[in-house]
Amino acid sequence: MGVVRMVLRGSVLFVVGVFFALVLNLLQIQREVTVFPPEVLASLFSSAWWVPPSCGMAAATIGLLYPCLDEKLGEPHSYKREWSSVMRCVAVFVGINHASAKIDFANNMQLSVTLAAMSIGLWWLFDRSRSGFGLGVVIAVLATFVTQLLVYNGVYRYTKADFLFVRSWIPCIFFSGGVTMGNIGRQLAMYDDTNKEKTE
Amino acid sequence: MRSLRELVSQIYYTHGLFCASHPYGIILGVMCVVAFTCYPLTKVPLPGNAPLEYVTPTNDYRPQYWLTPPLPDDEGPKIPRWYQGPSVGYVQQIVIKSVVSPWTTKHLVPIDAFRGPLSKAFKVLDALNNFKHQALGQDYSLSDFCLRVPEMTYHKNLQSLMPQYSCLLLSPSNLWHNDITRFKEDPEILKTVFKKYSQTMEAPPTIKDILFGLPWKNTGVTRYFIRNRQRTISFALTVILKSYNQNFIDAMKTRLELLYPETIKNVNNSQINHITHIHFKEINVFVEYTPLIVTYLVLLLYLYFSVRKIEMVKSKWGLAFSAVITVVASLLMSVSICTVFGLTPSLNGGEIFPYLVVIIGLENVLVLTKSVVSTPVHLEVKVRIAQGLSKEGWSITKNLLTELLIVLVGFFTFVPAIQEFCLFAVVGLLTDFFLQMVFFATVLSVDIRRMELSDLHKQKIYGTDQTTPDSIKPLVRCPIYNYPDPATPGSMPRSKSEPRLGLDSEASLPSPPPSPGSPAEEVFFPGPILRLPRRLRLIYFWANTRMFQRIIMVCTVIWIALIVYKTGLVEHLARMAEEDSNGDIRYTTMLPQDVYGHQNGGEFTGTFKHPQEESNTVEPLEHNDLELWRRLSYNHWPMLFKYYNISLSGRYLSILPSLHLSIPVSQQEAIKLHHATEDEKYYSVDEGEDAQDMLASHRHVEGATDNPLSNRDHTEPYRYDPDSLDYWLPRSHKELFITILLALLSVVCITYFMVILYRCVCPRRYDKWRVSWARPRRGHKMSKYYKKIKESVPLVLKGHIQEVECLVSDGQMIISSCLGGQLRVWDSITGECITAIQRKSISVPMERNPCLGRNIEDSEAELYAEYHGDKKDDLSSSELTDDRPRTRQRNTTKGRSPKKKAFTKEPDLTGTIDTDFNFTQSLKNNPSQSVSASSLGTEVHHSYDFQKKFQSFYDEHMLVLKDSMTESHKNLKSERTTSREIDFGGDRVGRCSEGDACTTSNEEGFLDNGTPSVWCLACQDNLIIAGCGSGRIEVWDGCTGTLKCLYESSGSGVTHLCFVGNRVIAARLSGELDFLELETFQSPAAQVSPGVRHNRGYHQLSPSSSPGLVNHGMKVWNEEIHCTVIQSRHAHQLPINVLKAEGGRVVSASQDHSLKVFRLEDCLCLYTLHGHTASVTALCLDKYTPYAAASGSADGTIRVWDLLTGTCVHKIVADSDTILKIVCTNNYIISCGMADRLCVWERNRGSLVHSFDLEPCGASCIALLNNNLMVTGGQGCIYLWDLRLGRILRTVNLGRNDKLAQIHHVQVLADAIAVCDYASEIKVVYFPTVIEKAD
Repeated sequence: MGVVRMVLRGSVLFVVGVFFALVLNLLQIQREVTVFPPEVLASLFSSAWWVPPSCGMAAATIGLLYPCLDEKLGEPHSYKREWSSVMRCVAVFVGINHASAKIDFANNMQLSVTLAAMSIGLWWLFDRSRSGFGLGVVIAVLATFVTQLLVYNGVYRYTKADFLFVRSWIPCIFFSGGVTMGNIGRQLAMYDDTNKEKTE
Repeated sequence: MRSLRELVSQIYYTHGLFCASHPYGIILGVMCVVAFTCYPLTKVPLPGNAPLEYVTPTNDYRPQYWLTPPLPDDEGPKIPRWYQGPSVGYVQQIVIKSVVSPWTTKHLVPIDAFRGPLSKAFKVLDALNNFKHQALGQDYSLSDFCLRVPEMTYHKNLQSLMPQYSCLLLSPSNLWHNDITRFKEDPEILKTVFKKYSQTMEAPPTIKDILFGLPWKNTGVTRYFIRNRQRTISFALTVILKSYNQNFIDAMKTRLELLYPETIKNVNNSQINHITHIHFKEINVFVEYTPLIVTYLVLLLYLYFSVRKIEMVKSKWGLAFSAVITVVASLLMSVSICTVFGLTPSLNGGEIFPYLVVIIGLENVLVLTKSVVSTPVHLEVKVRIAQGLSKEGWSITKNLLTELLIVLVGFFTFVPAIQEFCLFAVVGLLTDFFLQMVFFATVLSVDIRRMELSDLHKQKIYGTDQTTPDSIKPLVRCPIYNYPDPATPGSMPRSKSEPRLGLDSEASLPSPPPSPGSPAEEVFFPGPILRLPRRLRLIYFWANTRMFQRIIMVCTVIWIALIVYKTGLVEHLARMAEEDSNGDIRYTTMLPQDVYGHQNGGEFTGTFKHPQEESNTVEPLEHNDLELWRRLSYNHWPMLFKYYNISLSGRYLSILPSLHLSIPVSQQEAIKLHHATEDEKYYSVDEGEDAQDMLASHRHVEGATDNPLSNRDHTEPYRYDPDSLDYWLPRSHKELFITILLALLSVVCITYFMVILYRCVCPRRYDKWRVSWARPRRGHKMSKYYKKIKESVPLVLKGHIQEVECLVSDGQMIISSCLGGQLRVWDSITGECITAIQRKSISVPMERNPCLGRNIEDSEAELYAEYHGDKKDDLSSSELTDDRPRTRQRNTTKGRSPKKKAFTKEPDLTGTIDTDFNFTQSLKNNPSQSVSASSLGTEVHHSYDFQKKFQSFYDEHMLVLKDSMTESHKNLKSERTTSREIDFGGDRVGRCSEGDACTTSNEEGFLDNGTPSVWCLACQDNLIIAGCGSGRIEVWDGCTGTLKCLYESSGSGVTHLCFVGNRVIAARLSGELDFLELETFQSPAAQVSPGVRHNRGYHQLSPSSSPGLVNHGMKVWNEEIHCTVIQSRHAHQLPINVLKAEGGRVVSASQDHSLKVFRLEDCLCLYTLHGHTASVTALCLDKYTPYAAASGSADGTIRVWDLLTGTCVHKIVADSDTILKIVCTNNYIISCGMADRLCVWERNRGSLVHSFDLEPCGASCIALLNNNLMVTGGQGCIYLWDLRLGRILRTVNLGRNDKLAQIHHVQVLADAIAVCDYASEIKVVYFPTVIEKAD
């Protein structure tokens, strides 16, 4: 029974992850929209088919990992455990992406500092747990590393040549994404737990 | 920090009270405020698509072609990303101002004011079309540069009006197909202008707007006009150029200026020398909107999940709706406020909106709802709202400040977009806070009130003082609303002779001059003074009104001054605004005499000018605003190009500085243009001027003299012209604001004044009004009375040999039990011992009496017969009827009723007491066997023969008794019911008064089978119930000291007893609860003999010879009491610590961490109250309807429960140690724990008011004298506390200093008497209150 629930949760998270990957990709592309309108759509779907599924996988992993870690550490997360709060978190996450995509920053330093501040603000607003922060940082580091590897190997390519720009941009997004996914995962887990209690 | 917190919650409390008091007014006001603040929004382009502007100077302008996109790191002025490639078109506007001058009403008709100027459009158009510019030997005409447009694809019905396959050149003349003859022949030119060409519903940039090329109100063309006067008409010729040629445009400008020389006087056309490029954002539906849709989706989910949490309200949807309204309105307000203060929303509103909502959030709203809903239901709505607000006030404020701080951090990113967002968010947060506090709280109060009305099962509230607790008095009393005092519902008639107490003193008590006799005198407010706040409030109200009257006066004066000053002030401000907006534009000042009207011959005269002229100031042809196109609808250009299916989105349009022309039209010219029908309509020019004069004078219309420009120098009488109303119309928005502001102010003032008047006049409030009038005058000298508390010397009740263990009282009697098991009944007033019950020797009374063994079902008649038969018959014969009923009774109750007759016929046997109890040993072998103690003992017993021993006494006694018997028999016949008391009472009194120590003699007839210690006592109406450690429950008659009934079921000790009505509830150590019912066969009637009066403190004893009564008004349980078990429940698993009963509810607190609430009638367990995490050690119940319970636990928490719903209202973390005792007043909860710390908590909010350290071990002896006074026991003394002030008023020493005993029990009688134990003694301390006059 527990396994079924776990799989169910994982699939929900996977779907959410895929969805976010598509939407956020779109947001990132938008920077160049005014210049090349028609190519965007083509590039969105053609560039790398495997990106959204891998994002979904990552989301599922993170979403399952967070409640698991809470359980292991014995620190049940109790700050703002409500769906409305989760929705708020998701909205802020999308907002961070939106901001990074839409706003013209004077330089990359500004962009990265702003994004970092926003990410930490997100964590503070909706998580506030040490485990959440730690896991977020780990995810950010890992994901950046993986992305860099991919880039070096030429599997994936940044649209912009500006290297530093991309580097500063990636960890923040991953960090906030990790926190958001963790929030969703925890909420789902809690929902499962209460259901379990009810049935028992 | 704490005080700050309290202050904040106090503010919220006040605010909540205010909101809930005037809900509708506030909602209306908030709506007005929202509408007012949102007004500027009407001028802001709708979400998001605000065109972007970029300005380049004309001089070094080079048309942009496809260039490489500028690098973001470029130095120099930042060029927007969209400024690439060629412009769609260059817009050249030629703004024409034209006026018929001079104007004479004699020759001109009103329509001439439009006809003449409009005809100029044709002229200028001609000039433009024919204009040739020679450059480099080539002739260029306009058609070489202009944008050629194809066929119209949109709005085909406009094809005749718009140019096709030619230059895009627009002018009002297009309406007449650029044909001057057509124009001349048009009888109704204005009808043509205002004709609708397309759909019935048209969006703002209609065809006429596009053709006129100016904001419509600047054109001066009005549809309806009455006055015959000069009008300035403006319009623009709009040419869209394909390519930009500076020389050509300059040449065109000089040419036109030459043509119309008036222009030079009125405008400097080269003033503006920059080209404005307007970028229209591209909307790519898919890419642009997908993330947006996602965010909106998330937003919707967020709203849904948030709103779902609103519960326990009348209309869930209504509240949810208002919550959403709150957020949306606050956003609108924030945008509006930002625009007013000059921030142009460059961000895409639609994009940032969801994030703003998320940042602002609905949390506060939900928290508010939850907190208000969780307040006790029985409270008044206002108080609930106020409490709910004050409970959450601190956290709301904290959250708000935190969020503001976070958002403010955003300013330091120095990214303009983020800064703008943050600014919006800050303003949004503030406005949202405002709306939540004012709007939502009020809506909530309305909702809760509705719920309350609909709640039919709502219990009526009575009696208790539900006023706002003293500690959270509202900071400001609302003057309009008279707070009804719930403590005294309705107006209580009060006798005038009654001295009014402590009028001039409020919470801070005046310290009276210490009188020489008693240096420690102090003042307090017991009992009746509690009502005082109402009076005080009346006075405060009065005081407030006077203050507010003054405020009103000041306001009115200011208001009148403003009215007087209005014209000037508003004019001035409006002019300031104008100057601000026009900046450095050449500006001629207004002549002051133009503005004000003159009094002329009693008639209201003046030169009222059209607002158009007004804003144009003196010169009708002067161009003030050289960039009028900026005021065009933002959709103007896209709409124009849309006609030709040219999309501007993603591209930009360059607007060249417009050319301004001023063209006066001469009178003759205007007349020439007259249409034939117009002449007929108004007058015939040929017929001469006489008729026209008549016509003019008839209409009382006086125009200007020949020279319109000089007509301001001498004003003409002028009446009832519709245009004169224009003067009163606001001329600018600023003026409108100011006027509205003033109007609002006046409305508030007037309303308030009306309310005050109403309160004066309204008959229903007349009494109060009068009282409040009368008070200050009359009360001046009366107010010097105040109550003082005195103390009396403690009354000492001596008698117990061992330490007093239990102490109860029922007002008149004090019942005490000592460790030795002796029960004593004392008179609380005299301190006499009425009865001493030596339980030591008690056992089951074994007497037999026919009348005692009645069946319950026996009718009254049978009883009577039995009773009298008993009297008459020989006792030996009556003995036969004895056994049968008795056995049944024994089975059910296991109790034995003492035989009263035996005692009545008893002689004094005190002398025969044998302290050697060895003889009883034999009886223990067969305790169930009945033993007769009949005084007339005719029966011989097997086990023990009392007769042998006491025969001589009885014989002696019988002789004495015989006489009284005969007497009593006579009495019996007359008054059957009382006969026995008389008989018996006389006997007892005799004995009691004879014997020095009131030891009774009823040990006789009992079996001494071990005396269980008394663990608890309860008494009511002279009936004492003692719960024993052995599990036995004994019922004693307090007056006679006889055992009435005995109940013994289990061996578990009785820890607590409650005696309510005829029910006894016993809590046992095993956690069981026994519900017993006492049945009597004769009502315990109060017997009052005519000779004895109820004199308090004056105890009159009847002489022994007369058959009088000992007890005044005490109920004598002369008849049998019968004890039946209704129900026995195993309520708790662990011992029950406390048991209390009040108002039909029995509450038990147990060591198993829970409390249980039972209903008294059917012994049903209603609720189990969970929440404590340790043994529940203290319990206190309210005496009045809301029936709340306060319980204290070993974990140091106090919980307040609502017994109607069984929910926990408050949780107070009081102590780290076990709470030993809790008492409650209406406003306070007093708790005392192991640490001997006495804490006074404010009841409704759970905040700590006072705390004191008590003497060690003084915890359990706390008793309340009344709502404000408390008595605690200490080492050898008791203390009297004032709860409100939190200090000791009195210390009463009970013993000598060398030997002080700890006081363990304090009981309060009749609000002023404290009874406490003092080792083996009992002390009664009376605290009399005396009304004294202050010097």
